[in-house]
Formats: sequence, C-alpha cells, structure tokens
Amino acid sequence: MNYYDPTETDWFNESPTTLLGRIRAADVIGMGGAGYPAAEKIEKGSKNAPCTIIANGVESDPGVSADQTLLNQRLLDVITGLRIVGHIAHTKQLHLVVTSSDLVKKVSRLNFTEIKVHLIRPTFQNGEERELIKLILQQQVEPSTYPTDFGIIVFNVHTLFAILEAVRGKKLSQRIMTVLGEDRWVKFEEAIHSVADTDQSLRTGCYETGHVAINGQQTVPTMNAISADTVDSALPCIKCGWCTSACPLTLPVELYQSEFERNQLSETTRSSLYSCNECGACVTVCPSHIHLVDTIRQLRTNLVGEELHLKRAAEARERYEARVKRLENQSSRETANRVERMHKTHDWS
Amino acid sequence: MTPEILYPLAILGGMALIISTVIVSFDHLLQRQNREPTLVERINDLLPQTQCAQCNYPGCRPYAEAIFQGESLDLCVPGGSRTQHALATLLDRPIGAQLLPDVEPLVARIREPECIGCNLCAEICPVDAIVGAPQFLYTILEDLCTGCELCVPPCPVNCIDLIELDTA
Repeated sequence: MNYYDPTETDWFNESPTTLLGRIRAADVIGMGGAGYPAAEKIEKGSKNAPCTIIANGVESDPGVSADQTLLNQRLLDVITGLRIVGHIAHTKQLHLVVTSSDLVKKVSRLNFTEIKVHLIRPTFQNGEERELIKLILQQQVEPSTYPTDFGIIVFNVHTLFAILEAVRGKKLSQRIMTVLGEDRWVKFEEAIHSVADTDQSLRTGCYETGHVAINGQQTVPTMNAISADTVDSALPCIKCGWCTSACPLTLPVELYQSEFERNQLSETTRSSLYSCNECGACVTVCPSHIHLVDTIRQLRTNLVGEELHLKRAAEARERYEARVKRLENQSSRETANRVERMHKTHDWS
Repeated sequence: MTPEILYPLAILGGMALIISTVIVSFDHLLQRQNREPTLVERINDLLPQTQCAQCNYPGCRPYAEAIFQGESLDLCVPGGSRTQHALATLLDRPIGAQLLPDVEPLVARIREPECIGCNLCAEICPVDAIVGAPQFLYTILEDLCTGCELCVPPCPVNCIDLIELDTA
C-alpha cells in the first residue's frame, strides 16, 4: 500500500476461515432489506468459483439516501469491506456500483486497481440484485436460481461496512437511516416513534414499499428509513391505468384494485398476484393517492386465507363422504346380521 | 390334462386376466383424483362442507346440484359472502337477491367437566370430528370441526360452546 489507510486492520494476513468466523459471530445480515446471513452468502458463493463480488450502492427506494450518505462519510470502510469479501472468496473481481459521478471520482482517486466502479441511473428496480447483475455483468440470473449459484455475491454497502466492523471484532449497533427525510445514525432496538420523535403514523422503509410501524416497534439492521405514512385521503380510482403502465413486471395493477373493491378475484389476478415484488412504482404514479401496494398485500392475504378455507372444506367433504359410506355399510351389515338372527330364532322351514 | 383341454383353458384364462385388468384400470381412472372434476364437483368444492342444511338442502352436495340446476347463490350462511362471490365468479352468474354477511369460522368445544358421555354429539357429527367412548369423556377435534352446530341441540346437558377460530 502506498498511502495511509486509517481503517486498515491486518485482515489480509488472516485466513478466510478466521474472517468468516468473525462475520458469523457478529451476526452480520444483509442490510439491503432481506437480511440474509452474510457469512452464509459468502460461503455459498465461494463454492462456485471464480467469484464476483458486487457492492450495491444503488439504493433505488424513492426518497431514501441512507446508502449515499454512508458512501460519502465512510467510502474507505465500504471499500475495505468489499476487499475483505474478495479476500475470503479468493477473487479479485470486485465491483462497486454507485449513482453519483462525484463518488466515481473519489473512488478513482483512491487508486484500487482491482475495483471496477460503475455509474448507473437509480431508476426503479436497478438496485434489485438480478437487474443489477444484468446491467453490470450482462448475465441473466433465472428466477429459480440465485446469484450465489454462479459465484456472484452481491452486498449492500451497509452490509460491507458491517462486515468490516465484524472483522475488527465489533458487532454493529447502529446504521444510517433516512428519518423523515433526514439521514442520521440510528441505534438498533430503539422505538421507531421516539427515533422520529412524532406521534403520527409511520412506515418502516420508504412510503411506497414500507409497512406501517406499530406502536413500540423497534429499529433493526434491515431498516433503511423511517417515513411518514402520508394520510392523504385516497380518492376514488379513476381507472387511468397509469399503475399498470408503471409496473416493471407489467402486472395488471388497475385490475387488482378494481377486483379488490368488488371483492371478486379473477383467474388472471389469482395467478399473477404472487409475482409482484412490491417495488412501489404503482404507488408513486397513482393520481388518486391509492396505496396500491397495501391493496396487493391485502389481496394476497385474502387469497391465502381463501385457499386455506378451500383446503379445510375439501378435508371436511372427504370425511363426510367416508362417514356416509361407513354408515351405509354398517346399516347393511346390521340388517344382514338381524336377518340371520331372525332365521336362527324362528322356525321358518 | 390333455392338450385339447389345456390349451383352450389357458387361452380363456389369459383373456379373463386381460379383461379384468382393463376393467379395474378403467375403474381407477374414473376415480376423482384421476379425471377432471365435473361442474357439480367444482361447485361443491367451493361450499364450506358443514352439511348443516341451513340452505334447506340435506347437505352441501344436494345444494351444489341445485345450484347447477339454477338455484340461487345466496343460501349458504356458513359460506358467507366469500362463498357467494366465489360461486358467482365460477358460474358467471349474479350473486343473488342479498349479499350474505361475512362469517368468522367457528369451532365447537365441549365443556369437559359437564360431559356425561352420552355419545349423541358424536353420532350426529357429519365429519366425525368428535371422539370418545360411551360413558366416558368426549372431545371435539378442532382441526376437523367445520362449525356446523349440529352437535349443539342433541346434547342433553347443553355443554357445547361455539367459539371463533382465531381465539380458539
């Protein structure tokens, strides 16, 4: 190294097993939202060498800038985390994906030759790992497979920061979150309403894709934002169809809303509803402020409940039919027995 | 056993074997699992199978057959609006004169200290969800209970309650 790096530990002298052990001991999980155990992801990916490591700094959640702030404040830490993962997976294929040209300039000044920096637009779904892999590596990861099956390990930049802390022997106790529009370091296991210092209804994550926070709910590592649950009263659906046009998976969102209101689900809805990944594009464009992701979530709950009812009804029907058969056999057997007894006790010769 | 008797016997025996195999396979093929359900079966599948006769038909299957013949869709009380809408979607028919209220699923529960072991509830349960021995304790298997309420009237000590599934 020909520069002074204040975050350097001598991780490059430690064995991959030791480093993995520290990551596991610190319970590092994916902080991009899904919370997958980081050590396991590295292990799975390493089995399919040669590996590629991608640091995901795209953050396409609307209104959330937690990852951007981390990259501005702790760029070197994130890069060190990336290099540590590369060291464990025995690879020099390291990629960092960002959405600001300033960051690209900063990274190039640091002169890490093995890290390829990519600048992409933070449009919807670009931050989703399979879309990202398609953009960066021109590789399609099919829905039934995972990136680690191909040796591709994607980590959110916050996760890489947590990995560095784990290697230093520390378990992360805080992260950056966008709280009502403002980026702050927030500790874990604190009540969301006291972090945001408000009584109003809040959502974890951004408004479009987030879940309403219940009273007493606490902050966790996978939470990247705390947003206002805008209670603009929703206006009636005007069937403009903008939601369907906005959906990156071309799902018939307007149909879902209409069937939700009439409580009558068609075959189209039943089969396609499970494909929705709740990205929130439909919510952003709706001119009537209908929270369509909430509608879809409710529809899925109803659908699952309905399937449960149908299953119970099918079981009840089978038991009923079996019982009817049993009674028929029983009565015909009883009649036969009775006739036999009558023949024995009476003298009908 | 001369050849004149043996050969015809073997041929007839072989034919009997083949024909019986064919008949048995057809029988298996026509079982419910191996063929497409009929429309009446699809209607019956959407009914809650409580066999409670609140629709004035002696069970769910007779009501399903009546619906197939054009009976109104708003008679199934335990099914509620959920069943009504499902049937309307399947048959592309209007839901009927009135929209039924949405029902919470119920299960029956015996207050065990009061049970006298008379067996009357188990005899009448249409899905055999009640187990017990005469003069001993009876209990209702809540996973199997459909909430049809048929066990409540016969109980001589009135010890059966109906409770909501979520709190059960």
